[in-house]
Amino acid sequence: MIRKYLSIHLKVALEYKVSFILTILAQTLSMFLEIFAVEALFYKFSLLDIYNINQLILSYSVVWLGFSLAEMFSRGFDNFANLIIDGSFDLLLIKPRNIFLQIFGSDICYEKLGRVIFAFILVITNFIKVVESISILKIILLILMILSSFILFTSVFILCASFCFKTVQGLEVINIFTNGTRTLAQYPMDIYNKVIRIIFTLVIPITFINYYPIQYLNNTTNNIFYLLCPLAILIFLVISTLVFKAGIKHYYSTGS
Amino acid sequence: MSYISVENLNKTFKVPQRGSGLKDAFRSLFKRDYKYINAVDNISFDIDEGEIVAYIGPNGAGKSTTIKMLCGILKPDSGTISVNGFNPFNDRKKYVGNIGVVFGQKSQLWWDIPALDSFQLLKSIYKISDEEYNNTLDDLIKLLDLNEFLHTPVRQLSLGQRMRCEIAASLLHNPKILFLDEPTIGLDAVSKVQVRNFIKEINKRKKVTVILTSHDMSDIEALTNRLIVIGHGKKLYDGSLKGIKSKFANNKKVEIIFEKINKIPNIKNTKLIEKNKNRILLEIDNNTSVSNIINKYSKECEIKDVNVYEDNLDDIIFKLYQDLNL
Repeated sequence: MIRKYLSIHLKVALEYKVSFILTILAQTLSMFLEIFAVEALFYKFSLLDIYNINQLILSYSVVWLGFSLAEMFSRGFDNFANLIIDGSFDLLLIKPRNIFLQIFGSDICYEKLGRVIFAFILVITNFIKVVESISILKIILLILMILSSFILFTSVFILCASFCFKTVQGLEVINIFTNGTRTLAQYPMDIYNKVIRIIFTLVIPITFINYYPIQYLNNTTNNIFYLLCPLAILIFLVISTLVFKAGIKHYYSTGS
Repeated sequence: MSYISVENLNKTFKVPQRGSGLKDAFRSLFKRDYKYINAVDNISFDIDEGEIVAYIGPNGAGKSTTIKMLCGILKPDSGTISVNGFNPFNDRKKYVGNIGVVFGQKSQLWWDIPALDSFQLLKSIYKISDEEYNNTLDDLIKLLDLNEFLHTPVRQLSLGQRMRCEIAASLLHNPKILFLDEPTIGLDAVSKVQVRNFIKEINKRKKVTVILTSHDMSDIEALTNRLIVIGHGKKLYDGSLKGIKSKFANNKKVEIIFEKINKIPNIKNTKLIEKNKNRILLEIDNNTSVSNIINKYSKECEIKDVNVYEDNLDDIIFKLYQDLNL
């Protein structure tokens, strides 16, 4: 069924080939410009003595990769308000399959593919520069970082989607939550003060996807906790799903 | 126990209330008043396997809410629903494999690609075996005459073609119950008849239980014998089409046109409403036979033409709604 979903969305995307390709190019370009700006700023102000540019971009691109993957595959949760408003959610509920799987399948945004590939290249090249010697453990850690970054943003989307059961309309406030999370998460936590760092460790566990793991990658620490900390994201995922499931019971549906 | 049994079903919606001005709009940001609406108010009914039941009522009566609860989309506030032993909301995943649903105003086809692609996705969602899928699809293509446009993107289909594809999509997995929420809305006469014939056909052939809501009384007259009427969330009538007709239909009117009349015959249970030089309009109650009247009149005059006016279902339902203050 997942394969069917993937292929049907590709068919839809390819119905409008020109628009599809242009969107990919535009999005990749905008991301490239952003990275370029970060790099320029870094050289101008050398803000962060403890970070070198590769660590910074690795941290940045892991977040981007996770976020773009989440936008691509978890689009159904990102745009969940639309599913409720046009009544498609009703149609998902009358299918004998897991509701989460169906929401994932309801929208897959191949237009994000350009960003995903670009971010992936950045991750790999900067990973190689950051770690002095590549070991299996470090590669596993990198995979965990990417996965947990994807899961983190997916969880944020799910959590935000849960609010739609109450409000029906998507709230602009929620975009601050999702995009704001991403923007803050891109930069190393060192530049923020303690309060923000604690929020991003305990409330939205962003530090676990880049800040702590990178310390392991660049040999600042050998503590095994740093290696496994991306898994902490799973707790956040579980909480989000539980909130969403509770939300379905309060679903009111719209229209006739 | 019946196939579908609904007991004391209730669902209340909380609707925010506010005035229309800008001032009220601002005020509602901080303090909201709510109104509680009993969309479904203590409704009970039973439906047997293989029945076709029309579920009707004015807009906002609670039809769709009831259907959504029967489909497992909404959780009832109180009361029980049992369909073939399932509780639709709690057993959702197991239950919905047995039902097909067509919402006239919501499409389950993918807009940009041919219907056949949507069908294949449904095949894997419902885990239909290749053999069953091919047989069912062949059947549906023949019955609904889909062949011409199965490979055209859905956005380019006419409404009638799309509705036929929608119905096919909801029947691919051979459901035992079919819910049709305004299936003929916006269709032209030919498509309407096609859809109706098809519904009758699958009901007869596969014993599919059909529950249908519609504002189109001709749909209901063509398809079903049993009506459930609701208004303001309450059940108002549950019984046969004939029953509602005899209860609410006006007396018949008979118009007789002639060249010249000698004498107006006196017939029991008839009332003379109008009399012109060569035309008479009579009101008779539903039990008086028209042929008897014609018989008596033909002795007194040479009849040129006779018209009988009877209330149609639209008039009856209109009167019913009026009587009950809906």
